[in-house]
Amino acid sequence: MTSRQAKGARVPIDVELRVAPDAISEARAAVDGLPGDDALLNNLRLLVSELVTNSVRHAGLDDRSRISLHIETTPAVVRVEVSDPGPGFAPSVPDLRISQESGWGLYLVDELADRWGVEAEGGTCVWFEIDR
Amino acid sequence: MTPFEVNATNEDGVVELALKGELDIASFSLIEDRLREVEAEKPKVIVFDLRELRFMDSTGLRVIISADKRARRDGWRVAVVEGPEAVHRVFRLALLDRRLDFVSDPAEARGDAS
Repeated sequence: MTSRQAKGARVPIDVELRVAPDAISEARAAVDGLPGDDALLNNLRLLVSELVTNSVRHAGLDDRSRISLHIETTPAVVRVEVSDPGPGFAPSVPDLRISQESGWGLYLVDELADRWGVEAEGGTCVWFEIDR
Repeated sequence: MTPFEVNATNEDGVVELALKGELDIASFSLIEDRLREVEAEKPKVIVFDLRELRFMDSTGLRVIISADKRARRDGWRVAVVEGPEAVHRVFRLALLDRRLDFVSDPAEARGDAS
């Protein structure tokens, strides 16, 4: 057990993404090499896709800006951070009583992540963690 | 990444939209443009066939929910052929697996239309 934990030491992934629609699939591809079962990797692909989409669509970034994707893993948890230089937002999830056409990204993050949050200091960082 | 493709067929007012590959914001305009084209033909039903879709994020929910709203408003129907688990669970998480009209294959939607 001790040796497995030692081998499962942090494998940080850092990807710089352009503010463009094809950045979303590039971000998902970064998940492919991570250790974990299909269920975990599918959750990560979906949530990474949602957060990078939010940065591309809503952060009001110019073409020269970059979106940073940071993923780190320990034997206990996977932590993902998506940062951009945008002004940030108040975290809220949609009300399912109304069939909505937007806001699903954070709803899915809220459903699938064990913890998540938004930090706004010199830009915006949306992070989430999934326990293994 | 598997590139996104959408193929439309129209048979007696039943439009099948077969989606392939990965559906995210990069494919949004492509599918919305195709939808507007087929909606202009005044279909009775539009069937989204998701069986060849490998990945879908909430972009897919937005596209199908808004088509379903237009259908209810304008008197046509939206049906969805369930995709693989990685795709269908997005509908389940959003509790839309029961609100949208899921059919097991396009023929089922054709049968309902007559």
